[in-house]
Amino acid sequence: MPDKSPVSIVKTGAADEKALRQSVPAPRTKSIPVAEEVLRENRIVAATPGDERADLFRILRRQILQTLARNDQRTLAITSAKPGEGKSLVSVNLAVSLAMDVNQTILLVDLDLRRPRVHEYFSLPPGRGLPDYLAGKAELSDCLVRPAGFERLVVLPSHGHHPHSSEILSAPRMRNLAEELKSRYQDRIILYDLPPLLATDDALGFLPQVEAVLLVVAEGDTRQPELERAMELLKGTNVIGTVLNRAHETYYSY
Amino acid sequence: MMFKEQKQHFQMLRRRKWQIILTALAVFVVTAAVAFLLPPLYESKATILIEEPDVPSDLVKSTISSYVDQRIQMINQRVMTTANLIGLIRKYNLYAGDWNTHPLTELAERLRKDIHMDLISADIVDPANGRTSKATIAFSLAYEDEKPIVAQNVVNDVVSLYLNENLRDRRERATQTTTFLASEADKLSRHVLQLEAAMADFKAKYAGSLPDDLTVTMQSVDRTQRDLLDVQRRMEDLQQQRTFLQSELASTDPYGGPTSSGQAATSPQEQLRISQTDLARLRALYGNNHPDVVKLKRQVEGLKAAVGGGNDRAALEEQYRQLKQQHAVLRKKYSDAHPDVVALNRQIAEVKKELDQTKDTDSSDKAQQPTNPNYVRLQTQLESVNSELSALQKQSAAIRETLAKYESAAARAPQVEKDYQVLARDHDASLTQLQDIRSKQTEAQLAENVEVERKGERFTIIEPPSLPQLPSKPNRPAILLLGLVFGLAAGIGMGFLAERLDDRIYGARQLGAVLGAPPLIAVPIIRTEADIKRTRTRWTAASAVVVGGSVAALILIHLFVMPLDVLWAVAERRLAVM
Repeated sequence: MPDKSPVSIVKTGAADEKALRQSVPAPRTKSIPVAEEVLRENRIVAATPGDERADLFRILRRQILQTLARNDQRTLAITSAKPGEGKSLVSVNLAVSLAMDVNQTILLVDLDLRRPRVHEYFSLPPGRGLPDYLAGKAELSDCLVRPAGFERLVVLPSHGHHPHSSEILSAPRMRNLAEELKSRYQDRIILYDLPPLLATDDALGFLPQVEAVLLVVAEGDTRQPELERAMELLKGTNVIGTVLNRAHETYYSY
Repeated sequence: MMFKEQKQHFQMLRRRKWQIILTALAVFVVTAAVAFLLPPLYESKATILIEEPDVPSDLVKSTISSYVDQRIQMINQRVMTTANLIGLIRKYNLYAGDWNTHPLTELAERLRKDIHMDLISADIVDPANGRTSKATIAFSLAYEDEKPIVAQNVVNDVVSLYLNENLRDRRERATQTTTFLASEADKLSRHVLQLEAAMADFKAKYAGSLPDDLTVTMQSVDRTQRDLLDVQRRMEDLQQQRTFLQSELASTDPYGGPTSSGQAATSPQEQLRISQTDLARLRALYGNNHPDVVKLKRQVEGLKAAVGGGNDRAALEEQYRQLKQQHAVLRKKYSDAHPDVVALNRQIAEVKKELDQTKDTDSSDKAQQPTNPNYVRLQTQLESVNSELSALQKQSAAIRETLAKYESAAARAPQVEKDYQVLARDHDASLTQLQDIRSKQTEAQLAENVEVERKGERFTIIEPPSLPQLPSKPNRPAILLLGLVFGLAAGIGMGFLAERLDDRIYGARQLGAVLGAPPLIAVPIIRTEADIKRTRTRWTAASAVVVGGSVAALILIHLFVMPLDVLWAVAERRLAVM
């Protein structure tokens, strides 16, 4: 399907879409083949045709797109109250779903440096990641990855575990990166998979850099006080909605 | 279609299914264990019928008047004494395990509660008025024990106690009644006798005042008054006479008037006096043997007899005086040797002897006797009037006394009547009471006889203490069912509790409620193959643990509690027996 030029930071992107299509995608963005079974095993359902859950994510996609477009926003943070509530799952599935929409290009950034999961979801081989870039050990282009089959999706993973995430995230380098990522391409939507709000204050520190927030809540897991506390912390930010994960009954608002 | 509430509840149940199931299971297992471990109790029961008396009760009003229920309760009290119960406990080793920890009186109390006495009643129609009422016709005694024989023995002993007590009780009551009535009758009859004696005394004491006597008394009063009046009148007459006589006498010369024998004597006394004077003269002249003297003596004797000899003394003294005069005259002329004087002396001596004999009977007359017949007559009349008057005086006094008595008797009459009435009433009442008691006594005696001959109402065994084959308790299926129900309830309760304690978010609706807006989407749990496999593994492991644990538990039970085959046999028997 016709799509926009792949992401490229370092080099100017190729202008000719058609040319790109016929050739192997530009080597600037690594394209990693990800088998469908693998995806399914990793709980990425948004791409599976005919899956009810894919429909759910489509609905989410539409709502988010509408909201963002209304306010002319393009950056969205996805967080939760506690770890293990499935925010990375939602982020990945949402990203995939968004990427399947012809009009969007998506960049998914894994900012949960303590326990990054995005690369696991795509079963990405170990490589360079955001922390490497922020540490100055790698170029951005070395870190960006485009999972095959999703031409409009680019992922910036964070391999490994980095306990000093708050320092890293609040460093000026990260801020600059966020700025640049936003301004570089006008119509690209950037999703940030943030760490949980109540675990650390990494996320809080980064929130000013994003325009919208999506909160993931896990049924049978998130306690009401925790939820309320999280909402408390998110006061002042633009929370555009919540996603209830592991629900026994699917639901969507119209 | 399900309403939202129900859907939520359903979801809640699903959510909490493990808490519910495990709790229910735990409770049920415990209950089942209890159901099986409880030792069976065997109940022995005896039924005792209350039989109507053979003698119809109108004929002999039974002195056992209290209701059968009350009587049974009373006998219950008398039979279930602590002493009796302790006796039973010792005899059959009841509650043996608790002898060291509990005092026997406490165990006796437990036994009292464990022996169940129930009344059996039936509807009866009163033939007199067709009303139906419930009457107790029988009662049952039951006791449970782990050993059937013991249960039967205990019930047997208790039944005996009951029967014996009933007999004794009935006899005692009947005898009590007759004894009581007899003593009451005694008391009353004594009282009646006392009263009768008192009444007799009273009658005697107030003889004239009694109501019955009153008329007579009044008549007596009248009569006595009349008598008194008569006497008084008579006395008045006599007093007048006396006054007259006294005045007459005063004007009469006591010694005047003829005394010669020529004058005819008007009364025998006069004649006698004259004759005696003549006799004295003649005697003096001729002596005692002269025929004239003898003739005259005979006349005098005759007159004396007619007069009654009252003037004997007077005559004799007259004679004596005259003789003395003559003697004095003769002595002047002659000496004491002269035959006339001797004769005279002899006469004087005789007269003196006669005089001495009659000395104390005669009233002393004056030496000087009046000779005037009128005077004497008047004197005599006056004397008789006086004596009559004094007699009348006495009579009058006597009459007055009598009258006073009668009058006072009459005056007392009203009070006496009142007092008598009191006595009479008391007497009547007591008599009536006595009659009543005597009749009751007769009845009671009859009733006692009926009792003694066992013709009265009595207890008979219609069902002897049974030897139970099957246990009456515990009701194992009931306990199991109860355990099931209870388990479920507990489970659900636990579920609810867990739910309440859980403050996690469940459902898009709740999320919406908390945040004010529902989620954009609610994503279900995404299960991967790996997940499924893992779950399966978990289940397998859990099952293995449960099975292994059960096996281990069984082995332990087999080794330390009871061999499994024995356990199985016990369980089978207990189950089969249901």
